[in-house]
Amino acid sequence: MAVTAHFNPSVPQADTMRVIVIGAGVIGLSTALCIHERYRSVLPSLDMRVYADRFTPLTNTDVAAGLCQPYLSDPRNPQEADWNQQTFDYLLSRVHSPNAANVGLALVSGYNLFHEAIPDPSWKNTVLGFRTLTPRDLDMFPDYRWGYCHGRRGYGPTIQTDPSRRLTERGVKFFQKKVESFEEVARGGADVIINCTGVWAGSLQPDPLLQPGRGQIIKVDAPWMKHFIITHDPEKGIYKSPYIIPGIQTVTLGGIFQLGNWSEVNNIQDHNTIWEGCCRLEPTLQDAKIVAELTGLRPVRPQIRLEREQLRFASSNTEVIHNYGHGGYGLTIHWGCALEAAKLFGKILEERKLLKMPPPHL
Amino acid sequence: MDPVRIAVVGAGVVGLSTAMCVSKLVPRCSITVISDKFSPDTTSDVAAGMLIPHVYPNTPIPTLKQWFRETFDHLFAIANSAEAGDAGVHLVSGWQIFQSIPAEEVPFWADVVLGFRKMTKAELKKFPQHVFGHAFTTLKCESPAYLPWLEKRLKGSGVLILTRRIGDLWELHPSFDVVVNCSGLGSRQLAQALEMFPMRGQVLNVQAPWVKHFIRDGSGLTYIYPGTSNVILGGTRQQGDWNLSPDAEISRGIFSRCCALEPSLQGACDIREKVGLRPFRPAGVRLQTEFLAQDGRRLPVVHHYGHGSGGISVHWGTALEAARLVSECVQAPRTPTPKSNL
Repeated sequence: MAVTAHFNPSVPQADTMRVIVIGAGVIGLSTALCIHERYRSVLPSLDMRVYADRFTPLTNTDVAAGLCQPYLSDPRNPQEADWNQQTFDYLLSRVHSPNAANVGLALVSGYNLFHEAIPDPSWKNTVLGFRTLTPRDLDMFPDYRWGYCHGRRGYGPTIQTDPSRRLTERGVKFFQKKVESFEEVARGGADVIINCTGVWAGSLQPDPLLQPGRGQIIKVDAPWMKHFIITHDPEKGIYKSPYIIPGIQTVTLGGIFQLGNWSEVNNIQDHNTIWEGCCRLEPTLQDAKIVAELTGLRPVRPQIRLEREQLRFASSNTEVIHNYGHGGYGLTIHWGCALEAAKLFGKILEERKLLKMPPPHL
Repeated sequence: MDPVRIAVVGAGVVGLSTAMCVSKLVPRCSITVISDKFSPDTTSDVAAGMLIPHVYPNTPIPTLKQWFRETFDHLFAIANSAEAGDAGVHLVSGWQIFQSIPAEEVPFWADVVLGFRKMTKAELKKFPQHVFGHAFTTLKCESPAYLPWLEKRLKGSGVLILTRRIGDLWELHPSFDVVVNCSGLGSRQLAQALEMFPMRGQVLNVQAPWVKHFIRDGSGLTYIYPGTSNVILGGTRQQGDWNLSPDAEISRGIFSRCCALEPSLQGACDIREKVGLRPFRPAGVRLQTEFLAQDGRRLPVVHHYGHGSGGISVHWGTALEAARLVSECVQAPRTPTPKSNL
């Protein structure tokens, strides 16, 4: 849902806080929503706009299989574990609501498979029904010797439609535009810029820590698949081993991760790698019809950049909140990051003594 | 010796699987499946096909367990093969939940299904009205796909398929040497089994593809079974009710009970009502050979009916047993038909 419009500098209004969110993937939309929900009522006036050159279904979020599962190893930044947990709890509370289908939320169980026995992950007590696989379970997967089974939340293709709709209902406007610099946005009158530009953040401000982790996926029609199957090969690395993740309408097959590859074009060798790997894992897929094939660029960074920065253009300070670099776990962690970004926003308001009443408890 | 001519009456899951087992077990026979109804118009087609067995009267638990295990193993092999999509067989995980702690906390079939365990407190939070539950992975065997798949394989083995309504088993004499009666409720007429009655079940087939787990209330009355092309919501158990037309109020009740367990179902669409009459036999499944005799004619009949609500869960195990009975029948020396006295 994109509104193409010419950029109109906003008419300055006394006491209006002007917030520009750059990026309309899951990070941009959820951060925008989180901030708007918490601060609209405590500000005299909030003018929030979302600028993006791509909207769903053309964002990187759209290529994601949508399964919310943290990495097996603990994150470098311990805060990320908290943000994962907050997202998990948030999704749990929403998955059973009557609205879950519209939001595109589903509960799905499945298998994580390994070639060797490994210790249980630190998040085992936070998922539903974690258990280690028995020999009988493993008979289904002859190439693997260890694994576990548990429930997880997954997102369907409407992951971005729901926050977009809610933002629109709140009066937030969307603009299709490619932002070339923070300065351009600041000079347009923005008080706060929320930078959710994902893998392309480097074009606004160089960041040598940010790299693309190219992924390719095949979407098939295989409605009998009710479980996810994710294999792990520590020698190859994350996302390089076949995975099968059922979504709401289609099943996503994947297993590609190429660091530093900016190509957004589907590659035939990658197609073969995915297809052969997944059919070997799950022979029933051989007859599945291919519905789509997509490439996306995971915004890989040693840790997420979620912090404030003050930039000075002309004679005024513009606050920037960076929220990018979520790698292949953006959906898994998005809400916790949005809450953190909202906290940072709250601090900005306190410093500028802009609040007309105390901020809501986050 | 000429091949033995075997007629299998009935083309639901019991009839077709029995024909299949007979074709594998009995050498040198020609098999004809005769039925007035075929998929998608059989009782089996209405069933969700979840492999969750129940206890049958007069049937020892070890026997039930064997039937269930044989069925599970047979379908599990299909589910893991490239045939799974065509055969309509797939794995599904979920929960069976109870409003009060059941007398038997671990059912007899717990080690046949996969990953059976008791639900944790965290899992039970999803169901505030329930205090206890089982979590496991089992199979779903969808007759609208499974029956045509069986039929195709039967035809490939040379089995003949005939659409015809049989009013009396003697109609099959002398064209056939052995009859296998898999006519379900039809046995009221064909085997004078007046003790049989329908246990009416109404279900809703809905579109709700985000539902990936089954949920079944331990009473068996309310269930949500996600399948390949729809989710089946149920149900009812109405004894002696022959009415095949859906009842709108019952549909509302089913929908409401299922939404209480899974609120996201309120977003379900394309709701279709279906009714099936489960073939209930008070004494349990009849697996028995009967030698019909009349006016000097003899007709061996292997009866295989009365599966109630557990047909799909035990069909392969009972079909193997029925095939053994047919095999014994065939091996017994054939007595020549006495000449007519006229």
